[in-house]
Amino acid sequence: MKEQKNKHPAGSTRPAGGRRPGGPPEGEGRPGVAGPFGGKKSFYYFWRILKYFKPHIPAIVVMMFTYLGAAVCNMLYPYLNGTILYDQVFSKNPAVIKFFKLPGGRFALALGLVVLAMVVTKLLVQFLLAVQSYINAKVVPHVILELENQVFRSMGRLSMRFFHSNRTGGLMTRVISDAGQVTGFFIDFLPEILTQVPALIATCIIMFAMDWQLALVSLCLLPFMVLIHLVMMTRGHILFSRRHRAERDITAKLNDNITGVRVVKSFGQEQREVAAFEKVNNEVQNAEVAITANFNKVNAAYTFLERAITLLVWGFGSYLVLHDRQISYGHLISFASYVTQLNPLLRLASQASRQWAASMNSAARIFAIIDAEPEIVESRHPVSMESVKGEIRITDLTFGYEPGRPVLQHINLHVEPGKMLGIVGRSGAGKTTLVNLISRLYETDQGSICIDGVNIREFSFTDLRRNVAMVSQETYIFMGTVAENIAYAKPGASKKEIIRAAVLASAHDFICKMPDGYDTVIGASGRTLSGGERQRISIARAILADPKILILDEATAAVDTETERAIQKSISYLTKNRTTLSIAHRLSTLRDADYLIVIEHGRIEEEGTHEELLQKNGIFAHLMELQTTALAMRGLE
Amino acid sequence: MNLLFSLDEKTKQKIGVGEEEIWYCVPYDLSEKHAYVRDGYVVVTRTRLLVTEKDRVVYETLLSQCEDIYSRTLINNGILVIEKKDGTKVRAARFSMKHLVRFSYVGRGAAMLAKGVYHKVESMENEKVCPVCGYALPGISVCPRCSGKKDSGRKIREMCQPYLLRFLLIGVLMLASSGVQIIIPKVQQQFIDTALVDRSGGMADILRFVSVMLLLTAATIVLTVFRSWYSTLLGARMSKDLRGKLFAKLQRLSLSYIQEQKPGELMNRVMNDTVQIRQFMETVFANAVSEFVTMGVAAVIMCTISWKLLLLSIAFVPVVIWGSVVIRGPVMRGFRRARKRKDRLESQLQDVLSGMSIVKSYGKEKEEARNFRRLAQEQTMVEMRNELYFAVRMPVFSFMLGMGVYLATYFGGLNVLEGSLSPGVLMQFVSYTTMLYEPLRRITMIARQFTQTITSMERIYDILDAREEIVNARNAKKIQIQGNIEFKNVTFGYRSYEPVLNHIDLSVRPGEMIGLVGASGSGKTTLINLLMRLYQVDDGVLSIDGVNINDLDVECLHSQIGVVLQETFLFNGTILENIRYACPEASFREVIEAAKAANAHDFICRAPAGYETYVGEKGYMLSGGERQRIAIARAILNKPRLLILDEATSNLDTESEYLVQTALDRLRRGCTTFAIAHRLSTLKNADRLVVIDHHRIAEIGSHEQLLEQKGIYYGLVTAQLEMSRVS
Amino acid sequence: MEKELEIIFLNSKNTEVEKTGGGFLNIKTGGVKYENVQLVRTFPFSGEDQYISVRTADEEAREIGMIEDLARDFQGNARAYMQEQLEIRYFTPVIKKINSIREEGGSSYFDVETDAGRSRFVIRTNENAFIKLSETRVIIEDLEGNRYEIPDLNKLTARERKKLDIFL
Repeated sequence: MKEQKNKHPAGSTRPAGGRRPGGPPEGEGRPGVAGPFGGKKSFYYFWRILKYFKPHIPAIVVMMFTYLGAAVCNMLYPYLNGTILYDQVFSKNPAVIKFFKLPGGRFALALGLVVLAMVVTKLLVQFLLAVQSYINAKVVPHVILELENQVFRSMGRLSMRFFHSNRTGGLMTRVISDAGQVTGFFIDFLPEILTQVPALIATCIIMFAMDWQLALVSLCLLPFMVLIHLVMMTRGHILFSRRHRAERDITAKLNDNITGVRVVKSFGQEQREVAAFEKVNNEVQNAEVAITANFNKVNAAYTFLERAITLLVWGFGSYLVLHDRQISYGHLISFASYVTQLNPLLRLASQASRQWAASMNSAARIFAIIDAEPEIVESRHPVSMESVKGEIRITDLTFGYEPGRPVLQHINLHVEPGKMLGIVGRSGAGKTTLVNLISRLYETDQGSICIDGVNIREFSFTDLRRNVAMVSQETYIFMGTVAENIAYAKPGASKKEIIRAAVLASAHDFICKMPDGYDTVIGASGRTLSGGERQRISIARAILADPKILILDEATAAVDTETERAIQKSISYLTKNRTTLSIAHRLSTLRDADYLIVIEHGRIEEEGTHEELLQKNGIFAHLMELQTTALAMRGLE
Repeated sequence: MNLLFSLDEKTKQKIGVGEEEIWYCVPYDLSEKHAYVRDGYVVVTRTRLLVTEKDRVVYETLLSQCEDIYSRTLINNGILVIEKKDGTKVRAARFSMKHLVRFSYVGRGAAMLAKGVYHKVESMENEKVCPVCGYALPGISVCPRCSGKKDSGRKIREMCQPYLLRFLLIGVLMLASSGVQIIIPKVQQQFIDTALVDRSGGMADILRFVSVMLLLTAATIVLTVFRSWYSTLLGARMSKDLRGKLFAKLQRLSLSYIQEQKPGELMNRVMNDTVQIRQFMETVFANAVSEFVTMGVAAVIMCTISWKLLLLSIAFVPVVIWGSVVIRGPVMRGFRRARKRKDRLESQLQDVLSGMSIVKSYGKEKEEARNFRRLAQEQTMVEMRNELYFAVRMPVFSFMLGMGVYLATYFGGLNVLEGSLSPGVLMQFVSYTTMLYEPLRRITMIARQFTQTITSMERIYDILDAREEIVNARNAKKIQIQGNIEFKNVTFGYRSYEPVLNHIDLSVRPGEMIGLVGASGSGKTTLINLLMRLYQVDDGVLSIDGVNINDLDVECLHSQIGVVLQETFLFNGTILENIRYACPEASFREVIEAAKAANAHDFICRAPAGYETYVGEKGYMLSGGERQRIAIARAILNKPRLLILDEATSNLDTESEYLVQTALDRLRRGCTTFAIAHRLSTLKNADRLVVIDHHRIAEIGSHEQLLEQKGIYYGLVTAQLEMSRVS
Repeated sequence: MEKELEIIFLNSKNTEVEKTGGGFLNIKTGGVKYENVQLVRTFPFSGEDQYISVRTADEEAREIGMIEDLARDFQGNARAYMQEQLEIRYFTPVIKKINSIREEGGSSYFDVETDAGRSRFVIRTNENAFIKLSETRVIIEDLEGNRYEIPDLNKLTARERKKLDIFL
């Protein structure tokens, strides 16, 4: 299954067209499975997931036997408690004595033995249950772990297109909660179903054997219960969706409010926010109540039917007892117990089908990822990239995120090794897309990109990544020390190398100011860094990586003068004798560029050195004009 | 916070301050060597500073010989530094973080005395830990333990108070349904004994039995339905109210409180912790209490049948109760451990997924996968241990719960054989025994949920009890702002011992544009935050048109301020809704006028649905410049008197910057404007520039004046000119 | 490489060290005297006596130079004075024994013996007060901002480790 190619990436190059016409957001689409029971595909997923349980087969077999054993014991118990106890022992039936080979008249002993038998039966059941839970506890987490790992690994193989068209939150759900949801059916229901169905049949047989009339009466109301289940279940599904949506709305509102707290407070909108929140809050409450109302109805109907069946049994059974010497009240008690045992089985059926739907839905999502073929594949016989000079040549390149809407058209470019190319253009013109293609985060069939004369598709990923590094406005600071973050590309770097890289990136000073220096933990739950600090750590990382080709995408974000000066210096150092592609709005950043290109509407409109472009009096000259006069500072007069 | 610890008379004599008035006295707790110190104090009188240890004076100096006194923060400790007039620097005392805040105040106070300013410094900050009993104080000023107030009881009471009537109703329903349930075995017994045992009954008996049972069953179901309905309703209502309260409280809390937390954390409290409470009400409360009632009544009835049998039946109950108490500790620990692991896994996952482009560009996919595997494995192991714990223990509990039935059956059975008990009664007794034990089984499971619920409650109250910083004064004034702004000796720090702005004096005329310049973190944004009253000054007075800003009505103030920040935050909604954010009643015409003035009208018209285009998550994507211009339109809409621009054009491409800049120029005519920018070219139309350096105003004047001074501003301008050289 | 980006390494051959009466440190290197210098550990956990940054006393804290290896590059009194300064700047008590941990109202109250004496502190039970530097090395940060170190969890008794289980 090829990856979905239908969404536009949320990168910095967004064409003015946008990706969706204005309108309220739609709900998230779900792949595959239809309806409460799923389609044919569900069974396909079912078998695939079973395979994940393969390594645990011995344990599962044991578990099946425990279910079987428990079922047998459970069938025995009512017989002991009812028929034997009441009919035989309490009625002082001599047959019992003979059966147990006891000395005559010792009914007390017989009683003792029967009770003992009951105890042993129950003990056995509990023991089997313990074994079940134990195996369950050991097996399930491992299966879930395996699924999670596979999903994550598969995700890693997919290209950037996938990550841009899916929100992080959604991806996280797939890795973490979907994996758990999938196993839900297999562990909570499947074994029970496999063993309870024969148990059900066996129970019915026993009941019929004891008295066919009573058995018939007992089972006649069953179809009604199944009916209730079918009707109520679909309704429940709708209500759950309603609550899900309400929860999503309230979460979004809350998120907005908290992340935008400064805006809220500076506009003094607190009261209005509270009122708006009240609305969504109410909706959640209503949705929850609706679910309970529905559940209550179902429950009431169910319980009533259950009790009605029991009463029927008692009623009819009593009639038989009174008028038919063959049925004793012990029989009756047994029957009542068996009927009571049937009820949970029915509930099981309804719960099972709900879980089936949920599990298969999750499975569909997971397998969509696992099966997805990465768009960008490594060549089977990669060429090694030993002594790279860093010459880049792009020939007739055309690329678009969506078919029919090219972002870059017929790009031709040549960068000599060690030289710096400046790329200029409006937002959304395609600059970032171009550099993404060079590092092979995206790929196109139309045109080619060659490094040192070799098409980049021929290189192995490792080699390519090692020789091409990017510093952009997106920074990835992960949970780890400053030293670890800087040494990301070169984990074995020595302290001296790390410090040197940080000094060159003008990061050393602020790192020393942190209480734990290079050992300070940064990242999600660590110390937070300012934009300028993150930027400088990214630069230090790139310095340490020492790549042959360096890509700078607006590396000087909004930082103060001091920092900007420091970063500019570091970048000057960094770009010496290194093939560099630098994207910038502010032309001052590109003043060291050997060659410049101007991209407009996906094409190279102008190219040349600074002087050549100024003479052309085109877009570049216009931008230059704006920056040096309209937006410039008043000079020092 | 206490800055004047008391010393007893004897000590005072010993150190020689018997008669002098002590201005400050604070303990220090570390020595120069790596050791804790007890009974050490820094004592400041009107003329002297002494450092004592166990009644001896180890250092002493006259304040008149001191040039400056301050505390300096080191790593996990701090020192008090005295700069003497003769140029030497002395390390007077060393203390742990516990006393850091105290010493920063005392340092300031002592420095003031040294300069001859006899003004006592006070700290409004709260102790984090009660100095008397060591109890943790989360943002409250009075130690509850010392003042004898028990906390969690209050919280529960507060939470349940508004719903007392509902609780009562549910209670009644529970009693009723229990009552009905109790009767059922009795009815059964009667029927069995009279009709079945000796087959002496007739159709009439059967019919009567069936109809009575039917009635009782119907009653049980109805009562149970109502009971569960009301409980759920109550739970949903309670959690809705809590959510509302939390949200409202969050609006009133200070900016720093909210920005200090991780957004995910706050959301968790409002969403998940309230759900926890609702679930507790729904499942546990609805059933648990009624089951207790049932248990009680069942026991009473069993007693009337045979107290001996009753004793036998409940023989195992103490064991079960003891067992559930014992497992509570390990259960809680296991649960917490699992939660921590899960949090770690999730935040790592989020990091990697959002930073995927960089992971890929460094080619680290496989390694991240390995990392993930490791964390996931850890989490799995912990969860597995938890589950195994339960797997082994629960069946044991279940079995023990059943034992009562067997004992009753055996000994009761003996009675039946003797003839002293009828089979029907025995069966009834056994049913009651089950009624006794079933609730116990459920209670053991409740242990888990109960602790979770208490934790959730604590977390919710953490927020509800937090101190609100900005409150409207009692007679808050409402004025029409003209634009006279005055900062008189204003001092402020997010942490009061680290002032970000020190002794700021600034006078601004109406309609003036002030450009704020200075290094990052020098206090520019802070100044603006103070102006927007997002924080309150620690010292000094900030007044608008002669009125102290603290005396102004907050809403009135905000309605007259227009703000354009660097982080353009657009809410989920249409462009129209966003522009109208501060002014929802504005007419379409006003909105379009504002958009035109902001140079936004053109691109809005190009958007698919014009002003009704939906922007925000999953909506139409706007470029940085476009968002900024919408933010400007938003700011202008209610014709503000005071305009605040915080880095409004940093992240824009040249074209956008030009458009935004011209819009801003148009906008600020007639408004008093405060603008912050790193790129000095943005401030070229400012009337005056204020350079903030080392937390004070270093230079102030027009562009030309400051250039002449050849000071900091001059340096910045030259540096920027150099950097913006385009060739 | 530009001058600004070069690292200067200090050692006993090019630097003089002098202790002041007030308990601070002056150094003289490259012909310039610097007063009341600060010594900053760049790797306080993974290499506390390596790559020590020597900085000026003012708020700007400019780096004067670095000491690559304190034990190797300085001897005798100079080294002793520098270690003293580092000891003052960095205070991390090491927990030797956990006397008790009590939990109440969402906070955990610790009573421990450290290598600086006995100490009592409070942390919020549900927050991340424990920072793991490695599998066995942990830093605890309490409500007031104090930090404590447990260098090796395995050196604690089994009972103590069990008590810490919730937090890890």
